[in-house]
Amino acid sequence: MSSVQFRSVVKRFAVGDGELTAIDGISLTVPGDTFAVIVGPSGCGKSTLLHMVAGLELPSSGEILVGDKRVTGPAPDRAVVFQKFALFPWKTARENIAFGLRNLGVPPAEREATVHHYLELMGLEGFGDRFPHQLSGGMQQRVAIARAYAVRPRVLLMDEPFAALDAQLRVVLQENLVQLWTREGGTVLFITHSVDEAVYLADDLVVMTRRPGRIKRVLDLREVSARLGWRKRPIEEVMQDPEYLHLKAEVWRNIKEELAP
Amino acid sequence: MPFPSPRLRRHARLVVGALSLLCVLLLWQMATAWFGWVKPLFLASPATLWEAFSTSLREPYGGATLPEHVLVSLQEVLTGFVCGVAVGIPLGVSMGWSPTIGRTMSPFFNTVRQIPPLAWVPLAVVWFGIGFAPKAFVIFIAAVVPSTINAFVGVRMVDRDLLNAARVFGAHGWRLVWQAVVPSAAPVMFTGVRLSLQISWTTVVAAELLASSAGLGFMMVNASRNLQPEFIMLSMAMIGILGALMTQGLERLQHRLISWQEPPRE
Amino acid sequence: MSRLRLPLGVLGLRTLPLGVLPFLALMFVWDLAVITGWAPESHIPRPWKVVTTFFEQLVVPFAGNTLPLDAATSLGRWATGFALGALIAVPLGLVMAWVRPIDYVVTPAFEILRFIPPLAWVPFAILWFGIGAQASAFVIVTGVLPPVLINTYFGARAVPRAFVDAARTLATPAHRMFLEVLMPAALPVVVGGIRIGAGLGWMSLIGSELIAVRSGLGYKIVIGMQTFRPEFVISGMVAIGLIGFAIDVTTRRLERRVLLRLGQTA
Repeated sequence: MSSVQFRSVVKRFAVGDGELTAIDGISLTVPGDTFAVIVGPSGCGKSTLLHMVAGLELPSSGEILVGDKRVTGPAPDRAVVFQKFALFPWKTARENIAFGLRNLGVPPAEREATVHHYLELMGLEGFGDRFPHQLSGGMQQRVAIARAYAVRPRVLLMDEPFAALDAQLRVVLQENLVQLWTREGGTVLFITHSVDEAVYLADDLVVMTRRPGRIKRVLDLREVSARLGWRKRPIEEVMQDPEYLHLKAEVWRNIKEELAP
Repeated sequence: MPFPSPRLRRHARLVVGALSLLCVLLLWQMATAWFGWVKPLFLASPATLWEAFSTSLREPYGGATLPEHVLVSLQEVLTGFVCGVAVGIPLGVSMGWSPTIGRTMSPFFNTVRQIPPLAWVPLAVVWFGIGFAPKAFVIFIAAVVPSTINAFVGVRMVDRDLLNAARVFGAHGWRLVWQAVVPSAAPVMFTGVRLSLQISWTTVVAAELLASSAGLGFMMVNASRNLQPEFIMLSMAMIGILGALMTQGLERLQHRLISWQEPPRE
Repeated sequence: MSRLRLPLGVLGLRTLPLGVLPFLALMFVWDLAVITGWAPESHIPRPWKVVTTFFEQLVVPFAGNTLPLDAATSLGRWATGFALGALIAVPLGLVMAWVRPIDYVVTPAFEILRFIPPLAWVPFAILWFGIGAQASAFVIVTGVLPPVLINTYFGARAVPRAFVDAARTLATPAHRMFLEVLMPAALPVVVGGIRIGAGLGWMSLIGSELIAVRSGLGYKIVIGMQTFRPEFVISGMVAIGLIGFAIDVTTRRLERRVLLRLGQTA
């Protein structure tokens, strides 16, 4: 999978009669096959950043490269998992997952196989023919993740995907996501405002300042997480680990500074 | 892609809108007066319309001047409307507040309201003859419905927590209704009042077409019989304008009375 | 349903649903008013007379046709006007919602015309089409069009951005975007508008029949009025109410079905 490069990215919005600077110059490289998490206070522009990688918004200046290709618009190579799932309520789980594949011209037999694979992988066999409203929140989000993975993106973009779920479900899905990613691999760009989640999931953890958003700090957690086997242990254990708690406190301190009025 | 700012967009809207209306006006003038695409019988030219307007301001048409016709229609509307709302709101509130009253009155209410207000006109004429009364009556029937429904819905939709809070702090019975329920339900009820006004206005026009000797609807009937499209259009214009003014007026009133209690919604 | 304990053992009924009370009260007061002469029989027939007249009309023609025939005529006109109105309004609403320039052009004219009540168009309808089915259809269309257009427009505009975004990231071609994303998302609101339009269309139809045609239920009750036979007026009103009710129930069912199929309702 591909790397993501931000080169002096600036984003301004017209608001009322004036202008708002959401992102004030971000330069960052996320290597391929990395699980990168961006965390920051509300309104810091992290969602905007993700939307720009997705091509749903374009930078006011600067550019974003995915695997050395400039981003100019949305496409399946940068699939998105949205916070509110954005599953099509009039399509079954199966049809939702197959949607992108159809658009890519994948022949029916292969489509079926892929859909089946991901339904199984996400623990949803037997629910393929249900409509989203017939599925629980957690299941719906799993369908959304399946839908994104099914199109074999070069980068998987996740916009606070677990924010709409209750606390217990979140933890379960975080663990599932780690398992999934360990298996399927690839580059993931994950946005959250939960520090717990960020420290648990990340290879690279990017902390943003408050608006106008800039990068405050980047922490490389690969060494710690590999050494302590975080990705192989149950999440409740990891979250009690002293190193984990130490890192969490540090990240939180960084964010707290940004929250002061 | 550069985004047009909201202000620019608003201006563009106004400009295109104004241009489009001007085009229509031009086409209209061309079709009727300059090129005669449309026979004068079918549509009057803007000039004729204007003339009809200015003369009827002072000279009687169909027995009364324009202002007099307008007054007649307005009187009918206001009477029926006020009575309708005065009956509808208490009815809706009591139906919503008391399950017993609700269950008793609902089937009856929902049945009677199936009969379109206009269908009451012939009966009203049999009862009251032609004149002010049958129209005011029919408008009353029309106006009661939206006010009742919205008052009912508004009361039923009041936040449980709010009611409980009021009770905890000592409000009971009628006090509770007056101080907690009605203000909460007010926005929805006001919308009901607005709908009542709209339907009153719609109904008066129709009622006058059928049973009248004065009023805007009567003007239209008269113009229809005498094949004077300019007076038909004049009546329609007056009806449309007055309807719009009344709706806008109520909307402003609503904002003044109610919205200050609620934080502005984005 | 709440029940009231009454000593009706003799009728085999122990209790009575509350909702029946207002009807009973009405019948009682009505009959009393006529018997005591407080209401002249020429103005209000006794309730039983209305019932017999209603059933009589099922076979005996009044004002030219039997009740079922007139009902069928009215329904036919309504169906035509409704279909026409919806077929114009839905595509127009969609186009206005998704193609900005058209919105800018059409909206000002629509906003103005909308304030003219459907029946205010009757004189023009008669002028242009003469008395008959076409005039009626025209009036119905003016009643059906606004709610369907408005709902379609807002339904189409209110498609959540997230759906469109998700579809865009999944390389959705334009035709699929329209058919499989935009339309299903907008459909519930559109169908809601159709339901409202159906009801308003029926009201406009009845209104138009009071004036502009020589058959149908509206015409029937006008003749009842002119010949001073209130029993025909009332039984006609009942028929009108029944059909209006049937239309409402049917469209509500349809709406619910659509919502279920589109997975928008639990």
